[in-house]
Amino acid sequence: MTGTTAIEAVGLSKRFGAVHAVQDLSFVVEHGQICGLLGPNGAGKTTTVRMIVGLIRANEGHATLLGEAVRPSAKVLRRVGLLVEKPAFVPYLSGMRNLQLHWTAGGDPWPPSGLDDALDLANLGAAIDRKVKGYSQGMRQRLGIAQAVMHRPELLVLDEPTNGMDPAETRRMRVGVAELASRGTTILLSSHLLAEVEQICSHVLVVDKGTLVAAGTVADIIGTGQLVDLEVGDAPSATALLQATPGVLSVAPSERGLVVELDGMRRSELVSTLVHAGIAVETVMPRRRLEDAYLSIVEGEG
Amino acid sequence: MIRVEWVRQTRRLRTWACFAGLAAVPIIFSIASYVDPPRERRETNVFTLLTASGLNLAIVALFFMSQFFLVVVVAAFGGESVSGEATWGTARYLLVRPVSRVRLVLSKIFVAYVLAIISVLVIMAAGLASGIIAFGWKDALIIDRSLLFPLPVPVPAMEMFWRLFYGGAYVALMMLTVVCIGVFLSTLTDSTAAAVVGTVVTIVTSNVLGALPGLRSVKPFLPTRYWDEWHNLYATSTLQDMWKGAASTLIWSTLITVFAVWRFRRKDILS
Repeated sequence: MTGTTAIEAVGLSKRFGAVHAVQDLSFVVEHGQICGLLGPNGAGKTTTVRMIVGLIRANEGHATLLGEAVRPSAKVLRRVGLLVEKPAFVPYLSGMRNLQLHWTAGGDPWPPSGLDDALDLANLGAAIDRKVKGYSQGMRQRLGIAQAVMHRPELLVLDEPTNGMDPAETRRMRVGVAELASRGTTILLSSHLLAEVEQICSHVLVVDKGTLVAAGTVADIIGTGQLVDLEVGDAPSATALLQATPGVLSVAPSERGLVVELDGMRRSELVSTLVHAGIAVETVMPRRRLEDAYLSIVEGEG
Repeated sequence: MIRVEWVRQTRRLRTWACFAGLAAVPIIFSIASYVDPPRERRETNVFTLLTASGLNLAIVALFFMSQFFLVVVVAAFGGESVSGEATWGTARYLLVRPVSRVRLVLSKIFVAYVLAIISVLVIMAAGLASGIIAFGWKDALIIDRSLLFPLPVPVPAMEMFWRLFYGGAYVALMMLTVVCIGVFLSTLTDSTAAAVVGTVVTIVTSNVLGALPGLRSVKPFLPTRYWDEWHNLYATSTLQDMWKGAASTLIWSTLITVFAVWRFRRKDILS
């Protein structure tokens, strides 16, 4: 590992004819992060992913992966796992044969070091030896993820990894991705499923119309709204206290307790204020979810 | 990468269907010629001699197939090579494996060309086997063009066998141009059909230009200009233009390969 930056994009731009798919896009994903890449359809997410792995040439700017400059067929790609747009296999060959041919095409001896773990994650059972043309979309997706992780990559780039999976498969995959991250794999996850991103990711990049419109930790992105749901033992006392507390804009009753609008105060400070006043705090949760934050960012841009 | 491409192509039903089709035509040709032999005609050509020996039939089968059917099959092997990866979407995964783009194109050309050579061997084997069964292994007839009127002259069976072998080798060499054009076009489009049809159209256009009475200054540079020179193996004619044909094919194939590699190295992989 060289340095702490897993992905660095500097001023990436890509034009297709008169259409600017990506414009002056710069971001950094540090080692160990699980970074969500969000944006509406046509925002430039897939073009960005393809540029950072060398499938598309940037008109301007450059990218580095794991500290090395990206160019087509760069050696550093051996340390990267990729699932972009949708998995793709030779339909008349079995799942295992596809994995084998993909791996040996790079000149390495079969099998790769992480094959067993990858097959466990894919959970295809005996179907791994059946022809891929008989697979469901979810099975292809799981095989695609197995292909991406079978060499224990340091960096994993996943584009809509749970597309076509049923809830149980989705959950299994989410747990698997989290396990990979816990072992130190850096993950860039492009997804439309904001709840999924919120559960898995530590950081988020939001792109729209080919430009970066927000970046930061999930907490930072969600926290910009400052609305908090509060359940307390003594709601009237808490209301009176908070209305007189600097950093609190408003306090209003809700179905479950109180809705508090903060003005710069952190949630931990809010809890501390209430506990010091002898008021029991049952729960404190940000009212906005990632979906709210995302929509306000993207629609605000529009 | 060559081994990977080889496995992918040989595990494919389409490949075997093409070989079966190439084998079937000479066999049908033998059966038809046995059941209803060509009638005596005043002029002598390869077709009027086809029942003289199993070797004559094998020659005619190769002559007949190399005019179009073989070109279509070889165009399919070449035209599908890179565009097939785009159709399945597997190109992006191979390139980030990573496989070098140059290696990918050269491997595709190599395997498609091996399949083209096998195609020629299949035609020759099917023509020879069915021809020998129908008309026997015996001295063959070739055409003596030194006379005012072409006349058939006998040639020992073994000598004719070697002439057939050299003819097949020459046809196989000519197919290298078809493979290279197919691979080049398949780097330009993600549509396999477009690449295959484009390859066949290119070859047919070259043949048509070659057949036009004018265009004398252009004809020597057409990729198909010397394709039929191997027919002289079955007549008492000069063979020196076969060397020109070999040189022309190698020059064309090299140029087209360079263009294919140059194009694919710069291509954005969007499929």
